[in-house]
Amino acid sequence: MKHILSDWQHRLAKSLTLRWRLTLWMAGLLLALGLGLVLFINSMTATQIPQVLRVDLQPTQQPFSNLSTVVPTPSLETSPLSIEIPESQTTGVQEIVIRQVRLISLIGIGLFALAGAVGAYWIAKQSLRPVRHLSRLAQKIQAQTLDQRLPTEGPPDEVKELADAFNEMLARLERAFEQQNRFVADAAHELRTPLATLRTNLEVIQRDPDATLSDYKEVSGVLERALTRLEKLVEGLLLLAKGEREIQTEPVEMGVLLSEIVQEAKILAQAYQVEISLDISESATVLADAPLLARAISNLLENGIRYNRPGGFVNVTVQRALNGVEIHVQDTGIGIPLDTQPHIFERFYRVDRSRTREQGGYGLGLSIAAHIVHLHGGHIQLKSTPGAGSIFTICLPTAENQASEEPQT
Amino acid sequence: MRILIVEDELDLANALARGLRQKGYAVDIAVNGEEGWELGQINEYDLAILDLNLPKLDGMEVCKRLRSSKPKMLILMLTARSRLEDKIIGLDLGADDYLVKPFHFDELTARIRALLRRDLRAREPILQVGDLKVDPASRAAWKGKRRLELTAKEFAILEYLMRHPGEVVSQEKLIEHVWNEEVNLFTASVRVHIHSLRRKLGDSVDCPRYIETIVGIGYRLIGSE
Repeated sequence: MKHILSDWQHRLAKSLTLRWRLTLWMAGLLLALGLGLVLFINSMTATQIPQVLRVDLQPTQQPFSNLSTVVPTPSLETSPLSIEIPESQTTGVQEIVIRQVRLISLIGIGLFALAGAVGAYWIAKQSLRPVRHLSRLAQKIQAQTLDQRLPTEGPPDEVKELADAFNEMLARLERAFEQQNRFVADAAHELRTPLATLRTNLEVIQRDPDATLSDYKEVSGVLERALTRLEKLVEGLLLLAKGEREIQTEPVEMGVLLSEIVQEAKILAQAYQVEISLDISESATVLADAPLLARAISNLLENGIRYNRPGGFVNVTVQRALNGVEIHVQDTGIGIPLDTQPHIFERFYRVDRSRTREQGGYGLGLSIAAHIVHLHGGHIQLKSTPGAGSIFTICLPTAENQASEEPQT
Repeated sequence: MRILIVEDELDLANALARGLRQKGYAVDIAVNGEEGWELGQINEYDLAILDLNLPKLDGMEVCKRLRSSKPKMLILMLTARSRLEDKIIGLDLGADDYLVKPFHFDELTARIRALLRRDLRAREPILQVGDLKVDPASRAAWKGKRRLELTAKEFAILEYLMRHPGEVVSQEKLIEHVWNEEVNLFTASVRVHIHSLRRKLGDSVDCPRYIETIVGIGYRLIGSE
């Protein structure tokens, strides 16, 4: 029964507007309250009238004629009851009064409920008008016009609250869209440059009638460099587009993973004459996508090596921390200027463009590292002193913490 | 015609320079904004090909500075920035043209020719003075109906003189517009090239029909009038 009712309610709610629902609810409420009131009055009348009548009638037994004027019923002939049983006349009068009151009040309820419904319909219309206005304005907002805002003047009521909430959402969407647009523009820009190099080199050598084999060899070297750069860019962009659902986690022992990464980084470190060391004081297991996490950490390592000084060092340490594990990558490099530190994890952000280009970077390494760490439910921090070096810290939840927080499926 | 390439992508800049040199232009390369600005001030370039995202000094700033110090220099922005706003800003800052990477080399050279034509004395695609004709696009020169076999330098000198008919062009001016930075040149070699050009034109020094020597100053291409 309950199920059927709720189903019915559900269907009704679907087909009716809020305005109609409010009206119906108000009418229903008025009707129920009216009925209650009538019931109350009736029961009161039923108990009170006999007493009143008794008090008035019984001592003298006279005012029958008076009564007949009080009771709007026809003459004595049409009410034989009162003649045949004179002692029960009070009961007859009582019933007639009650019946009349009931009839009138029922009609009254109907009329007032109807009037109430009309009033409620009007009130609902009035109070929902700002909501309608908002929805009409909201309909006009598109991806291209996210800078528009709903008007929030007026009293601080629920409608204003709704408009404020809506505007905040628009602001967030606008920021997200802007970020996305800038990212796409930056990506396109980064892809265009190697493409231009490829095309120009090919076209120039093809149009040169005197081109020698060594010219062609030189051009093929250039083409290979440009292609490598394109590949790296595309790979980086794909990594950045990876979502949380696309990573496959397994328990990874950080000590083992870090030893491998540091071992690989030693070749680069030697080339830059930088000492690299690993310090694992405690063992820690995290649930991670091992190749991805390795990529994040080695990006930090490469960063520390490339922007270092000859004879400098890069030190990697693992530490247990509250709710997880911290991986510190400390270098004795050039450091990062204070004003650029907040942007360092932004995509395509480069502290010094020319220097980055020389070092073979594309402004994606740190943002990729940050993205991967976020995918693993962790975060990344930077402490840097310009001229003295930087410490990057990756904080990751350990396997047991992660398992208790969100059971892996 | 002398061109300055300001581009930090060396692989691209070198290919551009090579291609443009084949077309007979004198080309220099600057690998950052600061160098571009310096070279642009020192030398007389007819045109600058300017990248926008440059280290040390942004391309827009270079454009602004070059425009104010060298009002005659043509500036072509060659950049990966494809947004409409960037094009508008660039052109409003004084760039004469805007080409987005990646581009076709032939389009770039066509645009360069079109820009060089803007010089009011040379609006026709083919330059003509008297019975001399020069086509910068195909690098061909004619005397009447006869095609002249000119070396790249001879052609460049003739082209420059044809763009300034009737004007006295100093030897220094010729050096600035026809040779690039790498060549440390003396006016004597200009004389050598002028001499062989005259020979091919069938001109004589004493009674010149085409190239007149203004002693101590330079040369003048004698116009048809």
